[in-house]
Amino acid sequence: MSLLEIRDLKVHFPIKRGVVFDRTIGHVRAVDGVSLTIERGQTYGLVGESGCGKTTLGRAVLRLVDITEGQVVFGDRNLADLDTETIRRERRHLQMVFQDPLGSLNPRQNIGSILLEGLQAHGIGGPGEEEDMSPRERRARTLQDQRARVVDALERVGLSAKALSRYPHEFSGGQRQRIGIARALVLRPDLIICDEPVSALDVSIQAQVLNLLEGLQKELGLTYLVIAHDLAVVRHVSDVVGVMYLGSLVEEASGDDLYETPMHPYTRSLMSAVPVPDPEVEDARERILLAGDLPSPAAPPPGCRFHTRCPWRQEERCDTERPELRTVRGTHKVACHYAEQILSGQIRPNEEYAKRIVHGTGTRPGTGAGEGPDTA
Amino acid sequence: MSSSTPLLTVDELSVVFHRRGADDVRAVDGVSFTLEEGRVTGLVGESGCGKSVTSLALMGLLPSRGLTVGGSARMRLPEGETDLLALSPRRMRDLRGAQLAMIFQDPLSSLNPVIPIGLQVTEILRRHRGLRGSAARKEAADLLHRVGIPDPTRRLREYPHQLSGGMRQRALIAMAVACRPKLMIADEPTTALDVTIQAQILELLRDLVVEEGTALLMITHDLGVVAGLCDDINVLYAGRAVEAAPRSPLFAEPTHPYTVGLLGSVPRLDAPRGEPLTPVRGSVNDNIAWADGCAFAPRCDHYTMECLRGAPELVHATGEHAHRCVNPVGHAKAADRAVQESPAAVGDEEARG
Repeated sequence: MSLLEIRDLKVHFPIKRGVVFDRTIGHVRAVDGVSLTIERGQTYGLVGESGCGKTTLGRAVLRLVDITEGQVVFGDRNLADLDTETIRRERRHLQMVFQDPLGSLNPRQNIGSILLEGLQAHGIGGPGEEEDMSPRERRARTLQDQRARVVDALERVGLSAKALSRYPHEFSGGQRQRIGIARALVLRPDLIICDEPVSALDVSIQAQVLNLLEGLQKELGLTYLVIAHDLAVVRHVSDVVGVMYLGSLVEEASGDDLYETPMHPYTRSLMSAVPVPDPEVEDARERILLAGDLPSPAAPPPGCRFHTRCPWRQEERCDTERPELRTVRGTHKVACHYAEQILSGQIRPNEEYAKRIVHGTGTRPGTGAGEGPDTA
Repeated sequence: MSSSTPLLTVDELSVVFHRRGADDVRAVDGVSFTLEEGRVTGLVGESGCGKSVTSLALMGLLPSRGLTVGGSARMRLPEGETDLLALSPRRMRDLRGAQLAMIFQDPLSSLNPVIPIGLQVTEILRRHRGLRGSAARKEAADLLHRVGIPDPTRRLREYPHQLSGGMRQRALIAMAVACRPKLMIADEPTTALDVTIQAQILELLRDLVVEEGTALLMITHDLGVVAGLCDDINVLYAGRAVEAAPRSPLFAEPTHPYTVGLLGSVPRLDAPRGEPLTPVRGSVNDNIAWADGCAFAPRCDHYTMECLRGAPELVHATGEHAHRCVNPVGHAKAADRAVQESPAAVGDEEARG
């Protein structure tokens, strides 16, 4: 059975106006009907541009934002239905690593206290109930055990017990992110949601943290939901990648599959926009430049959310009928009416709809069947 | 490179910040490069390597007190060659916007939030080109149109918060190109933007360089951006260029261990899942002063005792490819690749905090 299953999740934020009476005049549809499944021991990568709802989705799983509709099934419970106290207890199994390593650590708490807090809140560690001892002795044993767990977590992320009495400002950005990971790790959760775990870090530190996350997964059998805007990072760490656009999943496939044959027009343009640190690849790369910006999630376009910017847009269906995420082949799912025709080359991108399509010097003009945009 | 004098020759630029009761900070410590018309020169490095301070020094935007700027930056101007670093603030104001322009990283904080875009764009036209009234407004609308902002006359009346991030950056670029400057400095122009918007902005910059023959100094930490846009690249580390080369040799045969480490740190979109990254270990806090030897030595896998005998010189390995390393990667491969234990193990890093 899968570890986490999200079914048709919707998170809508009300837009209010008025001084005395708060009238709700509309909704920001941050997440608008997302279904996905995460298997145990797997890394699910969620990628998309700012404003696509990927962070809100991650926060909704932990119930850090209110869920408007839908189910989040974790194990055998639906997290969306639980009351506040029960979800608080449940969070020992689901932890989060936040984007901003400094902002997510209390500047007045030392590292020891930050890491102990979770253990104490959930009453983890210490001698079992059946052991007979005085309350005082029990407290001492518990604290001793919890400290040992904290030191173990710190060592796993490459820091030492010396860090315990220090404060967040004494560490560099990379070390702070390691502390954030240790805080999630110390509870031994089943699922860690990493929200932009490396985007605030320098390039060389990014790689260190990515390697750390991968090492920990191998050692402890963790399951990750990695949320990031950087497609290269997501592809590097993920088994399955989901691409989000304006509140919904447009494509889901294994990392290699998605890279080899991106089917959704948005995925294709997104991939073609990612620069690769290799001049030869860069010169040969075909770039599909999208026109304009992301539409407002408060008034999403009807039909396919992407049709306003899609170079492959067709006259029919695209602007009236919202495509479902459907399985095209194997595990590859895509939400596009014309995925097959685009893939086979029957439908070609319309240069009028795209801002511009830059053909690399090394590739043929136009996209041939089944070839990735980065054919090196 | 052409045989004529380059547009801008930066020679041994250094910026030293003085601190009361503490050692000086040598943010930029002898950086030299040249800029030529129609070419893009890249300064690459991680935070704290001095790339932004370099650009501020060239633009004369550093505060006048509390620091020392050394070296020279000679620019070819209509009235003859001038050292930008020696100009009076008044003269610099005439050049800034007209001959030199800068595009900053954060488009929202570089625009005045309480003044409409139109007024901010026409300000530069009034100051440098003497345009007034409807002529200035028309020129501003043309500029916005040129950088790809739809419906420019409406946008001119709007405030920065009404524009999206990509459009704000376009507006800033419009202001930068308003007077057709010979030299543009772009300081992380796409870092705050989404990748599809980044592609649009990079394409726009490329067009400007090709069509106008502007010299562009591109400052970035993103090696992918560099690979696509820059002709010549300088890799900075701790205030000095550690490797300088045209882009194809730099990416094909990087010689400085830091460049190799940087390239090994970037997950590539075209690499299969799980291909291991080989990052540089430690962090910038491990550096030693250049005076004592190679600043990168504590994080370097090719470290030898020779690295601690004073700062290595920038040596030309082949033609235009230069590196500041006594034990560069290519040569180390030929010799035995015994990796020496470096003086600072990663675990000790936190001890210095």
